[in-house]
Amino acid sequence: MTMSIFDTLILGFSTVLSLHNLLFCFIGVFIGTLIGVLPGIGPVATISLLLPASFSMEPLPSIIMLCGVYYGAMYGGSRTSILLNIPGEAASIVTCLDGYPMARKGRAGPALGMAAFAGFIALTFGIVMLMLLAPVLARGALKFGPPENFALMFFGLTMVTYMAQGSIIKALIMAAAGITAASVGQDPMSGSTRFTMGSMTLMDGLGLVPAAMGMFGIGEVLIDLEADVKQEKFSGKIKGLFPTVQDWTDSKWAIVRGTLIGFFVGVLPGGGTVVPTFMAYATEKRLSKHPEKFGTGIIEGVAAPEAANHAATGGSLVTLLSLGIPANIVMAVLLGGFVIHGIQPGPLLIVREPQLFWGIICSMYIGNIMLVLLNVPLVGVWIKLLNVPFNVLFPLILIFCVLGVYTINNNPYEIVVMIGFGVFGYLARKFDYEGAPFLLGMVLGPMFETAYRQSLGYGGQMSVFFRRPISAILIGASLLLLMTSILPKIRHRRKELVEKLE
Amino acid sequence: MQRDFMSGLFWLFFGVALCISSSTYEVGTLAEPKTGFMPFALGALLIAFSLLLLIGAIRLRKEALRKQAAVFTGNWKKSAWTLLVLLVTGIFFEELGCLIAFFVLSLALMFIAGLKDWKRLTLIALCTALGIYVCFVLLLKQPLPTGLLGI
Repeated sequence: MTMSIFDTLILGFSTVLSLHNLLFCFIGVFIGTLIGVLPGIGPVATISLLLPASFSMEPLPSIIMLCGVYYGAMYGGSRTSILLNIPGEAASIVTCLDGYPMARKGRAGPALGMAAFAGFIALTFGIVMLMLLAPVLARGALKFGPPENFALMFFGLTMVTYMAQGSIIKALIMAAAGITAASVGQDPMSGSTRFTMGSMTLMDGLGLVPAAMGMFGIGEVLIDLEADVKQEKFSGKIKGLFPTVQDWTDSKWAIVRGTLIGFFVGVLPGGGTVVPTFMAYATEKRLSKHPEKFGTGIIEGVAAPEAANHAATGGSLVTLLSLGIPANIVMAVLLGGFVIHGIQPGPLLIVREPQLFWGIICSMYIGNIMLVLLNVPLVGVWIKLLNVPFNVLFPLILIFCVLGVYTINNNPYEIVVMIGFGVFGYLARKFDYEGAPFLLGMVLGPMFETAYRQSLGYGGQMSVFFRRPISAILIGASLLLLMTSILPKIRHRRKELVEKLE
Repeated sequence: MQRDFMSGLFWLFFGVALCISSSTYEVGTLAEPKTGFMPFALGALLIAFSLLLLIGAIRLRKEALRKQAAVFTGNWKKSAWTLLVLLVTGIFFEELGCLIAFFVLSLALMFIAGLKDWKRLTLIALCTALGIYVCFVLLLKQPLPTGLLGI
């Protein structure tokens, strides 16, 4: 029996509108805004940090909270970009380009207001699309067998490497290294152990949480510590948070285009929240009648990237909830949040756990409203947080990483594993390797291997991947992407774009 | 490029080591993969990718070397000290107990991060350790190690 949209909304809201769920939704968006404002810690490390705490919680409030952290971080990130020219989040880097000049011109208020309202509109669109698109995709994915699942993961990994901002070869190396790291522990098919060196800790494999915290918590803090980041303080006054009619007129199409770009790039595996912001900004600049004004403090330059990163959060949830494939690293860690509660996101989620599925979606509507209320009137409070000295903040982040990783299994060796990943993440950054393909490879690794070996059980030949249309299309598209990325002309153009972005 | 050359060499050795160590398991074939197949295939891919990286680095080496900054610029000693402190505390975490471990960790990390006022440093470290103890041990009932103090 299929449910109408109206029925699903009633189911979702009736599930989520309990004091308990609302409280955790608020905690999630609050923490999200907090870590968005504070540099040095992002949603990956924060969600990893909260995973152990969510063990003892019920699944729905725990997932609502973790999702809240993700989309809440997008709101927080723009605050520091606009006021201090320091992106609190990678997805807010582009907002600095026009947001900070606007603040210097005395228009910090409208810039902050527009960032929040554009974000609200875009996230609302993202949630509506998630609501409409996820069930359709999930129904299609129910027909998937191991060859299609393998092809989909192969496509996801290819996209992540293709969308990487640096060298594709380095991204491919990181993805391969990530799958290798996932092969430590038990063979998913035969159950025999691999590369454990007799260690009981390694029997269960290398954990995703120590890896994520190491690479994105410790690794990031070490880079920031080394760089001796100068702490700036915003001394001006923020006036007029509501954009003027002229601001809305100037921004309306930027919001529409930013939202569409953000959502559809966010749906793609590897799309993430950073790439669409650059694409939205570049699109606005190209379509503008006055491209020379971009970078001098114009409102479209704030509205487009902010709409894009908010819409992308909704988009990336489509892939996770309907296909069970994490589109980016935050989703990969969030997948861990589902798995610890024994829930497997994917096509069957909507059938087996309709309350959870629709509850998550409806909680996002509520969380989005909470975020506007938290961010617009309370902007001054968030900015005061930046007065915490970095030489206190950075050590605190490291301490919470140690605490978080220990509480997973009460095993001190997990701390050592996390430090190992911290060193790896730090060196990776130093040698210009991105962490995202590694972590996604690590998450998809066991599923990838299982799907591959199960697929061959169907026919015992490699041709099984090309005999089935969906898997053939996905593998064909992946191979095409890989081949085109090696072509000298495309490589050169890509290099030019990367240099421009830097 | 210097950093591509260095990292390319690392991945080449890693790929070779992975192929050798995974061949100690049953590898199987492309159509009938066994336990060692996936790591072996990944090792082979890593060798191929690292060779591509090395070739690119050798071709561009002289020109790029002039432009490129050193890998370890900035205050890398801070990172090294931070990692050492984290590692030592991690290894002796259960022996020290959470209160002492978090006090020492906060003190050392904030000192490394540049906070040199000892009174302030001690006060913040004490508050951090006590705050974690109250929140996680007393309120959330997390079984953190008691260690030397026995609490």
